[in-house]
Amino acid sequence: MKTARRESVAIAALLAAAILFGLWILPAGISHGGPGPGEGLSPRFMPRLATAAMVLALAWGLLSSLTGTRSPRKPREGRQSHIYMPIGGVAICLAFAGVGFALVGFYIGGICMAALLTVLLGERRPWVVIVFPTLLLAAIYLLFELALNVRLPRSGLIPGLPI
Amino acid sequence: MESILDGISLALNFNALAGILLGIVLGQILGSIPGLTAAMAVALLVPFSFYFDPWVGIPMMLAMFKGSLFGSSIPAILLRTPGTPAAAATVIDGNPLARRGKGGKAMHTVLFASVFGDSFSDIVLIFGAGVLAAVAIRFGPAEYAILVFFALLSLISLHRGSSWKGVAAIAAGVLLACIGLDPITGSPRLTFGNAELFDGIGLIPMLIGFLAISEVFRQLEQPVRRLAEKTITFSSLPEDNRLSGKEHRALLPTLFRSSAIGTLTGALPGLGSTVAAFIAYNEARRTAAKPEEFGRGSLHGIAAPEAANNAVGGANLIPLLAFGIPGDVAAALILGALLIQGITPGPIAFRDNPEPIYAIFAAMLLANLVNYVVGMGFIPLAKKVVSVPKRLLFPAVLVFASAGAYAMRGSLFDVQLMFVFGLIGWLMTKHDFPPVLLLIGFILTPILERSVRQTLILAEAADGWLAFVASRPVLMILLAALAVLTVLVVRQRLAMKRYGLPEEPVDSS
Repeated sequence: MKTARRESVAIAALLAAAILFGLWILPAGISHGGPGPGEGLSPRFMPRLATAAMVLALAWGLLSSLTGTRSPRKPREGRQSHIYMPIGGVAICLAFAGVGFALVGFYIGGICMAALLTVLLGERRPWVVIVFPTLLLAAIYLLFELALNVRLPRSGLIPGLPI
Repeated sequence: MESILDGISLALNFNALAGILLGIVLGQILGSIPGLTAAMAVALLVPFSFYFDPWVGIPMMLAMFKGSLFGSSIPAILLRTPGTPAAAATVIDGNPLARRGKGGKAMHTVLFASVFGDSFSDIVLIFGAGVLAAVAIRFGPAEYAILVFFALLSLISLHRGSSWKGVAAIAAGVLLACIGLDPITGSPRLTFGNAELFDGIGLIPMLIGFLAISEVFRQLEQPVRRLAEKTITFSSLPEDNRLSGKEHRALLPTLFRSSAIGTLTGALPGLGSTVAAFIAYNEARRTAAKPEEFGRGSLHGIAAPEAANNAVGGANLIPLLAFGIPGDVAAALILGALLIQGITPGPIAFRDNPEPIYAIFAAMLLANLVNYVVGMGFIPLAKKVVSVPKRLLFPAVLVFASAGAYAMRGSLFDVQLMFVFGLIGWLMTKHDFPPVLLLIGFILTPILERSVRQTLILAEAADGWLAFVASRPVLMILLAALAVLTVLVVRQRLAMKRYGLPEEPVDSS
C-alpha cells in the first residue's frame, strides 16, 4: 500500500514536471514560434507533440496507479538491492567526467577512476588496484593514440604533461 | 562476361586477400569495443587506404565494415553492451541466452546469421542493383514518413510492459532528439545557448549510457561477494557452445525473411541497420511458433536482427554503386575512398568501366567467407576476454566507454552526457520504463520529422492532399499497409488485455 502511494506521488511529480516543461521550458527554449512561408510546420511542432504524449502517458499512469489497475511489478530475483554501490559508482564517474579528466588528463584520471571503482567494488589486493588500472590505460593508449591516432584529453592543470 | 572475369581477377590476388584478412580482424576487434562504430572504423581507415594499392585498400575497407558488424554483437550478447547501434536488438535475446551459460551458442548464431544476411544482400546487390535502386529512388519524404510509422507501430507491438511507460519512453526519446538545430529552419531548439548542443545529442553517448553504463550501475546493486564472480559463465556441454545442423536448418526461414527485410531497408537511403534490426526482430516474433520464448534467449530472436542489420550493409551499396548515392555514413565513406582511388560509381561506371564494380562484388563475397572463418576463431577468444571478475570488468567498461564516447566527437561533454544517461537509464530500469524504446524514439525522430515537414511543404505546393496522395501510387500502397498493421496491433493489444496475457516477459530494458 505504502509502495503504491509512493509510486503515485512519483508519477504525479513527473506529470507536474512534464506540464511545467511544456508550458515554460519549451516555449523559452525554441524562439522560432511559427512556420515561415514554405517551411511546413513550426520547429515547436515535434517537441510539443512529444510533450503532449508524455503528459497523456503520465496522466494515464497516474490514473492506473490511483485506481489500482497497474500491472504488477517484476519480481527482483529475490535478492537484496544495495543502493550505495551504484550511487558511489555514479558519483565517481560523474566527478571524473565533469572535472577529473579535464584537470589531470584522461590517462592519469582514468587510472584514478578505475582504481577507485575497483576498490568500491570490493577489490582489496593493492597490486591489483594499482596494476590493473595501469595496464588498462596502457591498452587504451596503444589503441587510441598509436593505432587510431585519436588524442584523448590532456591535463589542463599541468599543460606540458605528455599524457 | 569478360568484364566480370577481369573484375574477379582484380579482387582474387594475394594482396587483396591479405587486405581482406587484415580488415576483418581489425573490424572484429574494433567492432567489439563499445563506442567504436562500423562507420567510425571505416572513417579511420579512409586516410590510410590512399597509401595502399586500390585493390588492397578497398577490399580492406569493405572487409573491416563487415567484420565490425559481427564484432559489435559480441559485447551485446556477453556484456549487454552493443558495439554499434545496429546490435541493440541482439541484446534482447542474446544476453538472456548467454546468462544461461549458452554464450557460445549465441555467438555462433550471430556469426551464422551475420554471414547469411551479408551474403544474401550481396547476392541481391550483384543481381538486382539496378532494379532495386530504381524502386528506392522513387521513395519521397511521404513514403519515408510512412516507413517510420511502420517502425513505431512495430515498437508498440513489441513492448509488452505497461503501455503508458512505453509511450512515455518514446516521447522522451523524441524530445531528446529535438535538441539541436531545427532541420528545416536552422533555428536552435532547447539548446539554451550551449554550443555543444547545436549538433544535437550524440547517438553514441546515449547508446552507451542507456545500455552499457546503466547496466553496470544496475549490476552494482549486487552484494560485493557476487562482484568477485565471473561476468558470465559458459556451459561445458558441447551442444551449448555450437549450433547443431537441426538448429541451422530451423533458422533458415527466419534468416531468409530477416535478410529480405534488411536488404529492402538498406536499399532506402537513411533508414539504417538499427531500424531494420528491430523490424526484423518484431517480424520474427510475430511469425514465431513460440513467441513466448522471445526475450528469454530465443535463437530466432538473435538471428533475425543480426541477419537484417548485416543485410543492410550490402544493400546500402545498391544506391551507391548503381546511382552514386550513398545510403548511409559508412557508404558515404566508402564513396570517398573510391573517389580517392579514381573510381566513380554510378550508371556510367556500370556501362563504360564495369571491372571495378565486379571486383567490389567479388571482394564482398570473399570477405563474407573470411569473416566466417576468422569469426569462428574469434569466439573462443571473446569467451576468455569476458571471463574476468565483474569487479575488474566493470571499471574497465566504464573507462573504455569514456574513451569511446570522447573519441567520436572529441568532446568531454559527450562523456558527461553518457554518464548522465547511464544514471537516467538505471533509474528507468529500476522503475520498469524501457530505455530501448527511448533510444528508438530518438533514432527515428530526425527521419520522421524531416519527412513529415518536407511532405507538408510538397503537399502545399501540390493541388491539395488528395491530389498529392493520388499522384504517388507507392504512397497509397504503403498507407493501406499501415492501416492494416494498425488494426492488427490494436487487436493484439486488446487481446492481451482481454485474455490477461503476461505483460512483462520481454526484457526490453
